[in-house]
Amino acid sequence: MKIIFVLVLFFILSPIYAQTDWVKWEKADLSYRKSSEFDKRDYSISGKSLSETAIKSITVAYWFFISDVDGDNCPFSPSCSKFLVQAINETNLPQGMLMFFDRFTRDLNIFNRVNKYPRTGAVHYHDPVYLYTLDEDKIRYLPPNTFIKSE
Amino acid sequence: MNKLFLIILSIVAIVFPQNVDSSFNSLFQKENVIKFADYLFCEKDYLRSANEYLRIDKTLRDEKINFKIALSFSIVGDYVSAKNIFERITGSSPYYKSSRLELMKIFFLEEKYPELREFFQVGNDKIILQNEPTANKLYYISYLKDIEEIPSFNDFVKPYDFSEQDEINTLYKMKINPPNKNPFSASLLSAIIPGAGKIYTGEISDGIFAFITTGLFSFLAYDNFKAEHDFRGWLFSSLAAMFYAGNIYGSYASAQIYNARIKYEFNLQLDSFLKSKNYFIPEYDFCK
Amino acid sequence: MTFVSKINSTKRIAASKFREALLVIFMLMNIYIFPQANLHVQYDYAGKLFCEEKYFDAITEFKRLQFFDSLNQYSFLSNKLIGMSYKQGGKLNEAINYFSKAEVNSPNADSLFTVKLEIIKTNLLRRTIYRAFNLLNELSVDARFNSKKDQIIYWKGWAYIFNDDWEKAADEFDKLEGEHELKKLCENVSNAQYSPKLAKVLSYILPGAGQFYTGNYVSGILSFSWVALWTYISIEAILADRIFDGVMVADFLAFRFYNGNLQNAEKFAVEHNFEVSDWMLKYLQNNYRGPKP
Repeated sequence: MKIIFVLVLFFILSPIYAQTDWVKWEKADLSYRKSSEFDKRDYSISGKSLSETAIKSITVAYWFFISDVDGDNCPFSPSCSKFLVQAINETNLPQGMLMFFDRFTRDLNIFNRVNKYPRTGAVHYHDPVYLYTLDEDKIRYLPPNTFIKSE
Repeated sequence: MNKLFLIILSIVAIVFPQNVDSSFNSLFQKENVIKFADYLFCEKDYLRSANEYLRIDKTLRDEKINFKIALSFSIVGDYVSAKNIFERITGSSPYYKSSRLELMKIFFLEEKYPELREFFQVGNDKIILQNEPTANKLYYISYLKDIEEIPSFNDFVKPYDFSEQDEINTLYKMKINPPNKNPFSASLLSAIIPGAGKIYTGEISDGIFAFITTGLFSFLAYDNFKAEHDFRGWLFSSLAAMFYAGNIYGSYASAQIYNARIKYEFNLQLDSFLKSKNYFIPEYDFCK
Repeated sequence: MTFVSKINSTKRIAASKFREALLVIFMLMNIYIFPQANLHVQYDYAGKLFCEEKYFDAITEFKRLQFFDSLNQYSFLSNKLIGMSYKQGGKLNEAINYFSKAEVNSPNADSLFTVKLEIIKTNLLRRTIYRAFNLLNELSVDARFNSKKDQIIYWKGWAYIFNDDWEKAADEFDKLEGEHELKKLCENVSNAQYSPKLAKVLSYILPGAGQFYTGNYVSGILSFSWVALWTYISIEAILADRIFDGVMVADFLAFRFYNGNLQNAEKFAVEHNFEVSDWMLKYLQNNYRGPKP
């Protein structure tokens, strides 16, 4: 498996210098500024439906009083509370709850994360909602041991 | 003096070759442009090379140059321009056959597999293509990329070289019978024994933890009911129920993810095989 | 005029006309038969494209110049300008590649220094600051560039800026003569920033203190309250002999909030510092008029 990966990379990287000029480019706007690595939470409540408003309000209260204060504890990239909100938005309340409990179980499992999930940072793993909606067409598989620039 | 100057100028203008560029710069004469473009081509600077060749007037370009231009566009990903030029290479040119093969390769890269097969079977060049091993190989391997009905194994494997047979064999088998896991079986197993479905799909540690959480909360519920702490009893049993249901759901999803992984790895293997064989097209000797 | 002198003058006129004709033929031959003389025209053309900011085409023309320059007269200039074009296009790896080629055929110490500086500047833009520092150190011990110490100090200051080390940057600019504008700016940033270490230590001693130091009062109060609450409950449980409960509460709750408090103190300091340096970097890029990477 790894051999195939390395082979693929080799064939892609070989003509690396000339390849930058395979598409005509214009003058670039290079910035001195670095990109921000802090992702800010979305505290807004859209009021689309009653269940969404209720869940989002509880989640925002949880974030404000507890989660913001006890630090960064979730190893996954959409954190468990954000996962819950996204799951309910994409499917419905009962299904979202099931997805959340499954995610919580996986959260408890501290073993072997490196070989299962792709990474988004030094200690964070990529585990998006679309993998678990039971809709096969939405699944975009990404291999473990690779780095993803998060959404 | 003026007359002399004019005579000399006219002699020079007739004797020396035409300039391509209106300026007096001889670096833009046809021979020099070709030399420079050849150099760029062999340096893999394909877009620049194509643009240089295109400086030369259409009527003065030979087929070899046209082929190299189209090949350059194909490599940098400008398939529209590449197709345009490949299609205009004449039947009498020694590059005609290669241009048809390159056109097939472009169909492949654009993921237009039905069009590729149509081009091979009923297109204008079908006689040439069906006698070409490369074209046959590309035709058959295109079936591995989409979901059309795939030919039988004996027909499929015929055009490939001895050294390619093993890989083709493996890929064919993986395509018609992928080692998938059944999501229903996974959820059924998890309903009987919490976590069993996840172990079935290869997530052994996840399965064990699912078993532990469901078991732990069930035990806590039982324990609290026995000690007549009814509120805690109901709390823990509802949590146990949620973990149990979540585990069944998660097993179904994990089987789906497993199948997605199989598909991903199959495509990776197929793509790297194709790239390593350069889509079965023999190497050109433009840069020796 | 005598007959002899008439013949002489005619001869002279004919000779001069012949010379003119030869001159014309010679000039034309130069351009058609000897392309080496053409290279200057090509160099001017490529340079014009560069000035018009048509960098991709400029690179093409410089490459053409190089291809026909069999005597390598234009090696240094063409490599340097190709590097500058790539740098303007944001293709920093290629830029450094060509600058290194220019290094090899630089005609004198001054040109070599210019190209080496370009490599350093490109490294800064590429954020490979460690490499830039190495190159600067090499320059400062190189005897050929003793007269350029000021420039080396100036760019070392910039390297510190890109490395987010504003205090050291201010110190570098201080070594230059007079009160340099950049020294003042770097000092301002350095003074406006918080020390993440200090924030963490404060929160270590008193939960919430680090957050107060960085100005996040609400978070500080929440942190303090939670840690105090759970610590009190767990101590009460232990004293009332419910040791298991006490340890559980202490571990899952008090400790968790305490850790979060440390994490937050550091995070708030780092976030604030990032905002300050981000503002200054934007200012330097858009408003500062001195030499920049």
